[in-house]
Amino acid sequence: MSGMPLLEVEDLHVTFRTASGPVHAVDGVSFTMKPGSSLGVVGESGSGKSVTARALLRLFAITDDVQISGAVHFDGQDLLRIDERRLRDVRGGQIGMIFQDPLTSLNPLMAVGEQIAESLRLHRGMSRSEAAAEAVELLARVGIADPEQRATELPSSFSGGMRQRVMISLAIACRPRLLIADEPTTALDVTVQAEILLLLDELRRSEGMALMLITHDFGVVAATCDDVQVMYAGKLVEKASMAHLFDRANHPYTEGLLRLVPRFEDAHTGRLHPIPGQPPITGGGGSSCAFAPRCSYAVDRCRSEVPPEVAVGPQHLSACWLATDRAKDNTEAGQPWRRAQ
Amino acid sequence: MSVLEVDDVVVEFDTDAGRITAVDGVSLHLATGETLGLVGESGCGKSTLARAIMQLVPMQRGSVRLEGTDLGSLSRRELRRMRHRIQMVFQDPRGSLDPRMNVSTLIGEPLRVHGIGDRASRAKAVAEAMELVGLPVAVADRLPSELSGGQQQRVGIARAIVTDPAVLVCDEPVSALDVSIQAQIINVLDELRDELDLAMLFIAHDLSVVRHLSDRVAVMYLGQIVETGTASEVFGEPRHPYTHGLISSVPRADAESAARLQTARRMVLGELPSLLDPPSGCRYRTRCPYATAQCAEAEPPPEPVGRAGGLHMVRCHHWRTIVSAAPEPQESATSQELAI
Amino acid sequence: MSVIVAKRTGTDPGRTSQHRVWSRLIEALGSRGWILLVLFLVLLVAASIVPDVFAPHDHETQNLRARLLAPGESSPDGLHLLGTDSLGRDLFSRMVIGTRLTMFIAVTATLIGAAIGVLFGLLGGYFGGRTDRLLMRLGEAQTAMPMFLVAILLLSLLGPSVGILLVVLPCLVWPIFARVVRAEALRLREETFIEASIATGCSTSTILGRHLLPNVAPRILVLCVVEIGHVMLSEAGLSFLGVGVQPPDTTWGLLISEGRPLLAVAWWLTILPGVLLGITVLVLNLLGRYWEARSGAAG
Repeated sequence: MSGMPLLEVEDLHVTFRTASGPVHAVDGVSFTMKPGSSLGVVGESGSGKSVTARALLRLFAITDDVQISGAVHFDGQDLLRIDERRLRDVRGGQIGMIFQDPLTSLNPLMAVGEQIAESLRLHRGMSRSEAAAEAVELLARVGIADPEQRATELPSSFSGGMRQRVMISLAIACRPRLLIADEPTTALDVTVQAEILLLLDELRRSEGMALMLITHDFGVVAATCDDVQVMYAGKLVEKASMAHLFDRANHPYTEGLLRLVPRFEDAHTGRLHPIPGQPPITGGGGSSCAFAPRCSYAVDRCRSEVPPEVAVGPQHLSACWLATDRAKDNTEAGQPWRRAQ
Repeated sequence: MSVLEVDDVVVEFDTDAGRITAVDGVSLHLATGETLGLVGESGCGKSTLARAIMQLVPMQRGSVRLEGTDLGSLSRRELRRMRHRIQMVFQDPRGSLDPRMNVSTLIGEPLRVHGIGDRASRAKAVAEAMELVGLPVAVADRLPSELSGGQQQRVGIARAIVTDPAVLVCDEPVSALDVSIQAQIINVLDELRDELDLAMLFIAHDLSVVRHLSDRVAVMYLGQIVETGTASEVFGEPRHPYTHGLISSVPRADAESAARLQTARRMVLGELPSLLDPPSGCRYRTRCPYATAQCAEAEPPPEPVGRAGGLHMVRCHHWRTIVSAAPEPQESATSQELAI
Repeated sequence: MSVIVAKRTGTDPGRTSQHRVWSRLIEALGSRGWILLVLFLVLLVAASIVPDVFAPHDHETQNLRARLLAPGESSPDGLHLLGTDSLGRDLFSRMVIGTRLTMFIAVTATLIGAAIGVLFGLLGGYFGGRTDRLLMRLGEAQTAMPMFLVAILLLSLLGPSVGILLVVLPCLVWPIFARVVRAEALRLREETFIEASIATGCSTSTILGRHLLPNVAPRILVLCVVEIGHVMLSEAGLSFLGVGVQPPDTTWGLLISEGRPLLAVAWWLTILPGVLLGITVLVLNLLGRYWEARSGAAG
């Protein structure tokens, strides 16, 4: 627990005003990240995990009618309050970002080397020739063979996995202190996913940057992240170290997510255990636990009061009214989700 | 007896850049009540194979026999009449449903086009199919756009089973769905297979899902099946380096996750070669850590692994020598494996 | 639907500014404005079914003492709201009577053209290949020819009649329907649900009739409404040139034509039927585009 946090998010709220009423996509999220740490953010689509990441850099479409409140302290400044020009320096400078679909984030008409060089000239003030050389260097570092040649090619001549590597090289070009990866491997095949995940992990260690990885797959988090936080309906429902979470998942939603997917190591062991129902489309903002309607453990209190985050172990928080009892059960009888199998 | 027999199927396509062989001599068979999982990366030809079996794309060679009838020898009309015995579930649940038809019309359509039953018995069959796949009666009048993704896929499945087919071909039926919905749909397919005694060809890139549902598994690479066998043989004791690489690539929520990915990286090198210019000899040799000169010269024939008459087959020149290189955790996970 | 709009503007750059004007007009209509448009059309349809209810005078009664009365003037027979022609016939009554044939020709010719165009478009779009090339070349060849001149030639050779008009006018519109329907069919053909219907065992006619046609139907309807206006203009043009409808039958186009020699002394005989024709075409266009925009917004 020593040292200044790199990123400190305080009570972040993001509300979209839509034709059918406000959607509380992010509903009071607070967390910190230390320099060089790795954090996985897990949730279903619509849980607010991507919106959280975008809100840090205020990356929203102009057409979105969005309201952000709270504070995002990064490197001594509040990213939500600095002006657009300074924010642009942070984006692609101190904070790099990669997305699920690399093709839409690259200029299709510009050679990839040029695109990286452009960013280098912009953020690191390099000369044209320096930037070109560094771009080739970066492509080599993300594992692209024959980088001199490939730097001159257009994004369309790269395969999905190679494109994601290009995106990563672009994101790390300015030696960011934080890399945000939003479902970076969801569109990729497993073997390519494996390589990209390893690459992200290696880069984090070699560049000393922090990694925030957004995904729906606990397996992906396990391979790359030390810490994990689970989001549901715009709220953080559980935070823990990855190692701790496997053993002692506390929140019923986390438990549901873990037992939801067939585990590869199991042969056919009867039916799966889907979480009944669907996440609320309006996000959070209610006066009850948002998961209560889908939760098989829910009691009356869950439907009338929002549960606070409760410490259930070392650096392990769970936002559930039953958290303390469940933590006790866990140590006494092992994981209920594992017991069920 | 096999209800579906696919023999030496070859499918070629003309693309702008030239002719490619998407499916290159694939043979497989399916018995009643059995599920065959077909895995492989995108571009390996698994979806094209599904479409060839469904006679939706023309085959250059080979035959598909459904309940003894060679589908390729039928006239268009005869083929259409056979179709109610083999049905398909598609990847895109919304796109595979006519946006202007409501749920009951969609599910009833296969019965109508095959002239099965009268109006009343069709309505009854639709209601039964809806119940089987877990669709509430209330959605019968809704349009696909008014349903959730999971419900749309349930409609797709109901349409496929309503004619009581012998074979169900599922092409990535859950990959377009959110994780929590995937589990529901997998359970639906699981239950249906048991209840209706379906032979199922289950195509997916998610190995965990395939292992969960399949009795047997076939691994496809660049249009060929490189390894096949029972699910526990192929996934528990993989013989082909590619299978081994694929298995190691699956991110699992446990402590050895990162180490396993390292194995994957060793077993699957570089990039998928272009189908326009496939490698000579063994298709996998360009990415294989064990490749030798022999691999470039001769295409490895399918060889039986283990006991004679067994189902486990592999196409690799060196599978005997690289067996030891595949230390895989067996069957079900123990608590120690997960403990930190 | 929005994709289609983009396609149309994409292929025809001249259309964009025009398009903007239309969208302004549609905006000006607001959410209730279309009721007025529909009401206008209902009146026209009513006038063609029961003209006597609307016409204050008999449209054929000549009254030489009441010749060329300006709008608002009265004769012993009563008020002539829109004036009279050179034979003293009441213009308003004649316009009301003309509505029937004008509407009949426009609607029938459009429907015939639509039927041909939809059939060709569906076949060409769905089957592609040689069928498609043949049908589309036919449409293009026809579009490239000055069809209006060909129509004039045909009508002057065969002698003008309503029957021939119903052959000539559909020829002007079917390529438009064929093009739109083909584009839609090409797009829909790639949708999985078409593949799914083949896999299910649907016959080609089932796929065309039950899957493709219903999915293009909204576009066809909108196009029909717009094209009725255009066909009306073409018919008026032909009648104006004397190769269209012949007296004693009358249409708005013929009224304009009859009034033309007297434009200097009796402007109303040309201008007023012209204005009615213009308004009708505008209303049809607006309504069509309004529906298109609305269905586009709905998904």
